[in-house]
Amino acid sequence: MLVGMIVIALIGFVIGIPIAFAIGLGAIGYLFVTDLAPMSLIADEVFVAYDNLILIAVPLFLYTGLIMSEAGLTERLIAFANSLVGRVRGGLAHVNVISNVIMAGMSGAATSDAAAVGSVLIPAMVKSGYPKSFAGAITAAAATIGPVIPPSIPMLVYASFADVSVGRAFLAGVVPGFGMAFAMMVISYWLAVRRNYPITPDPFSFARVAAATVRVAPVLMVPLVIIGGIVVGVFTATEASGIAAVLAIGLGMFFYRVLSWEAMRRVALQSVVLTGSIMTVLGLAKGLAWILTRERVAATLTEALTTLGASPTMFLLSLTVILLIMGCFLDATPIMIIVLPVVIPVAKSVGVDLVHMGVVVVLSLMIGLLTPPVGITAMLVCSMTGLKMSELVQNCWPFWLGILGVILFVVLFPAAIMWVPDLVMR
Amino acid sequence: MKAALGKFNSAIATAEEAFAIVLFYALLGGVVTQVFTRFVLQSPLPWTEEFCRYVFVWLSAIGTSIGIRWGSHFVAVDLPGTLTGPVKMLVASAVKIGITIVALVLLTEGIHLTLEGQNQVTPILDMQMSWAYGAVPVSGGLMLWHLAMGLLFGQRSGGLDDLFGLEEGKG
Repeated sequence: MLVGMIVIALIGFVIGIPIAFAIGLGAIGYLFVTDLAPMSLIADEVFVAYDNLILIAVPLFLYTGLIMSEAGLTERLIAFANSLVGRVRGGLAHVNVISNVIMAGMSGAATSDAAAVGSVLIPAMVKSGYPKSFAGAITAAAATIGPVIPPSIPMLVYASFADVSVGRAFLAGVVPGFGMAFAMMVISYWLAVRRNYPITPDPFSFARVAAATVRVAPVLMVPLVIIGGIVVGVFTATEASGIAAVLAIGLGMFFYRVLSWEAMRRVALQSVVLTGSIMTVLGLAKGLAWILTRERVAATLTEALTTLGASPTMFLLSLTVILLIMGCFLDATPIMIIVLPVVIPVAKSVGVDLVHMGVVVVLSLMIGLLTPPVGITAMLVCSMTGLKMSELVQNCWPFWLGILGVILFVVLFPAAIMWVPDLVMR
Repeated sequence: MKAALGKFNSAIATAEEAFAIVLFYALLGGVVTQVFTRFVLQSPLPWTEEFCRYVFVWLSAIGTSIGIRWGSHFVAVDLPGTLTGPVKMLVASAVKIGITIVALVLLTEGIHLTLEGQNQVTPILDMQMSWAYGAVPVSGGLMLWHLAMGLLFGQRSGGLDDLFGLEEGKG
């Protein structure tokens, strides 16, 4: 019967039913033919998923990122990054990575970061002589840094499932996030030298860096407040998201005076619809997760793994492989919702630190944002540039390898990432 | 008749979007009020957390129903988009039927949930839980409405482009 439920969902995915509804259909089909629970379970679980205090931060972080882009603040970030690393070979690729690192401290969603940075930098890169396929690939790849460096929407979803401290989960992403950025800059430099990509014509000067820093300083305040507030324990993640949104409005409307009421209306609506897309998956998949738990799928898996004597490292490596495969077909949120209720009890029994596992899960799912056929960030960049998925993928693989290297590092050396949350939130 | 229905549909869509925007800023206001009263006034209001929770429930529900009209829910494979002729019609109909079944369950079971909520009150706001549970059937009902209107008037292409205000080949 369980197989039938999964088959219904898979058929739904293949024929083009939205992921959330295909999963919901599988659960409805299962409840229809069994007497495990009444059909009201579906509505109950949707409500329980929506009634989530931690995830209130999702629309507010999405809004902050979109407002920053709408108010043209992305251009200031890019100018700042350009003054720092533009003179390195393949300068604009490095600018792309640095801009995404800064954006990562504000929005926490890869798609909005790709849209914000890509809409400015891809045309600039093409104009400077970079192939469009490379400009698209580095934009898509660098955007995946966003959900790893705090704040992070996938990490919020993970923390709400695993019942771990959001602050610790966020902080555990700091080292891997910067590791990803470093790996992408090294790969970009290597490709730029091999392919003779240009450098920015303006020479490096401290005066230029200082001028760009002054222009961008108020914008940099936003990630400082978000991360600083959460780290010091002044705010919860939800409160930080509200403060960030207000700061973004204040900067756009009163400081730079570029944000219109119409833009605020449009961005609020976009944030609600994006949140709706995420929450529908969460809500409808919760019914399926409930069924999997009641049918003792996790318990059976736990018993099997305990019998085999799996180590935490082996367990995390196996999980990474499963997530990488699933990432080719599904978006990050539905994967977490399907996998986590089964995997978390198993992870506990094997002795895995759940915060450490959160970083592995989020990192593995970031590759999924770039892999066909369903790589949401890759699809967005293709949509922005008119590139074919195959052209983008040909240029993305070196960056996949870079992220894969970071995942292996995180799995094999947990102490190298956990020292940050251990130090700050003892 | 179709023109009048079209106008009514536009009015529903406008009201739904306006409600979504109000919900968003109410949520933002609630969170900011919570921070302000806790840190500045040193006297936190007890109801802000509960208020934010239930506004977020409604925001998620309305975002879901608008997503149906915009066609912006995540799909694994856009099979109907790659097909032509009667096969495309058949697959597109199967997609619509699949969404309709889920929306129908949310509407009918959500109504039961809402009716049950009449006997429960929230701990701080002392509000009937029906007001919170009501988001589920309203979302289901609006989804069904948008699906029906999509059949009559056609649906926006939507997707990621709509969500991020992009145009094809903008880069």
